Amino acid sequence: MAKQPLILEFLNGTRPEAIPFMPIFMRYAARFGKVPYREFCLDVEAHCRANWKTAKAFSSDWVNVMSDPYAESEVFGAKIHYPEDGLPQESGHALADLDAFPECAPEEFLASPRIAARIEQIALFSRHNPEPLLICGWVEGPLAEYCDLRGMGDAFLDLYDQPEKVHGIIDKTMHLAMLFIEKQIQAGAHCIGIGDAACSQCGLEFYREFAFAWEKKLVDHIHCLGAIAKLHICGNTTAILPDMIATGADIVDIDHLVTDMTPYVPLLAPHQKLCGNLDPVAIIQNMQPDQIKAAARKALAQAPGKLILSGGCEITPDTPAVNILALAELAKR
Amino acid sequence: MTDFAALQAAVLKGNRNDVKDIVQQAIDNQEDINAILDRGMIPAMREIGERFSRNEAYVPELLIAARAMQAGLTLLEPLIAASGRKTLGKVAVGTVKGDLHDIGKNLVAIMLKGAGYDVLDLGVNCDIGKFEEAVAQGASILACSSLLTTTMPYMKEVVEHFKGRKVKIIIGGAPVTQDYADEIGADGYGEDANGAVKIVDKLFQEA
Repeated sequence: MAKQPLILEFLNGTRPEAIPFMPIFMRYAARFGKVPYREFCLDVEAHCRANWKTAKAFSSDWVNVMSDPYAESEVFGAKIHYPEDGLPQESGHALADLDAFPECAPEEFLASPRIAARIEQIALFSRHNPEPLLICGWVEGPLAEYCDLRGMGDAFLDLYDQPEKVHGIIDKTMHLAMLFIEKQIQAGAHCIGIGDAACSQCGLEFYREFAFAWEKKLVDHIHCLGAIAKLHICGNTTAILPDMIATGADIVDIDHLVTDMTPYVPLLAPHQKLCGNLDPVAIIQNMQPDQIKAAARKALAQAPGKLILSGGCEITPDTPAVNILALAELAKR
Repeated sequence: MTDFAALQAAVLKGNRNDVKDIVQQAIDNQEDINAILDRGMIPAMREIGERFSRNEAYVPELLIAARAMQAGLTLLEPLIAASGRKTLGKVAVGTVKGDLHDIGKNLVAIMLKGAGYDVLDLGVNCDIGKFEEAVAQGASILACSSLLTTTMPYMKEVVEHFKGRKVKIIIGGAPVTQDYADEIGADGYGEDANGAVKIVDKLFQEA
């Protein structure tokens, strides 16, 4: 039987003693891999090369396709500028008029350059994965995608003013997300991440009305296709965490703004784990290795056997390598 | 008699039609403009800020309350100008050079305006020249926002540029901490939009 990625073994209970290490490397990976950020976003080979190099150097247990939130919104009309070595920038929002959401046929969606590139990244990861590491695809979640299209300010006012139209647009984007998930899993993804960061800013009521049902549907779809789901909502998710867990996502990311994970551990089903939750700046970037290890031990003690070690969000590009190595060392020990 | 409790409730609920009706009625009844602001709309915006800090209100609630207040302010603005009412002070708000994230900056601008300050919104990707222009326009406090760790060092450049001058610099944003504010010599740090209002209040009181 082929060896499984450690994260899968941890999730299915065959390696309960393990501490998987799942840091989010994006700008860090590009810098470490000496790949300009434009290439990291757009060039399949460069993205994968930087990811592999970073994962190997820091004993990370996964590789992923994450780089920026605009892969899907570009298909829906967002004008994205890719600076040579900076984060992609959206010039104006794609959806000025809620009645003008573009109809997008599935084949058109899949053929768009960013979507096709993400699927190719998965395929490339999958072709050469001797470790093996967990290969993780990604989709924007319902509310995050809506905010990408409208801008958060207008998007949140729409929740009050035009809820039916918001639902209609979310339905359209999420049907394509289902297809995107399917293609990523077919290409070799073990896991699909659902990024829905806007949900930490909207409160429980709106989360339930506009995000939860679709997140759950995406998770169910991922499970039906034989993969695992990771739900990433950074920020203070204290109010919505029980619902996030109720989506059934196998890996529920927790940011450092959730100060105590203990109350949420009993809510986890046997297949579910938390992932986090060290402060990427105050702890991982700015503390000394011994202090970082102490903070990690404290986090692990809050969810014994139930925590995948990670920062609450992306590892910052200026983080000293020794700090990440300290976490890797603790995890691997 | 203006029902200030009803006005506060309408702002808190984000009910702009009610806000407009109550403010218009108050204007028609020749209510004191200062009372409409200071007993009605501003306390409501401060209350929503407090709820935000306690995680009892979220960004949508802030936005809709601010929109409701703006509906009232639009009616009041000509009268405010004619009355010579002074704002609490002028604050410029901008996301620093290299950073295009604006939601945090926008929330700070909304809350400061709601608290009664005159706000210059400088937008995103603000260099020192832009902050200088704001000072030339009378800003006493510059509120610098950053979401990226890679743009935080520009806050230090802003602080150093204005060192020794009367203008105060406050900073905030997801990766920013009080420690960082202390390290670069900023005059204050706002943990969130409501925190920014509190630090601005404090700096103006000390001035």
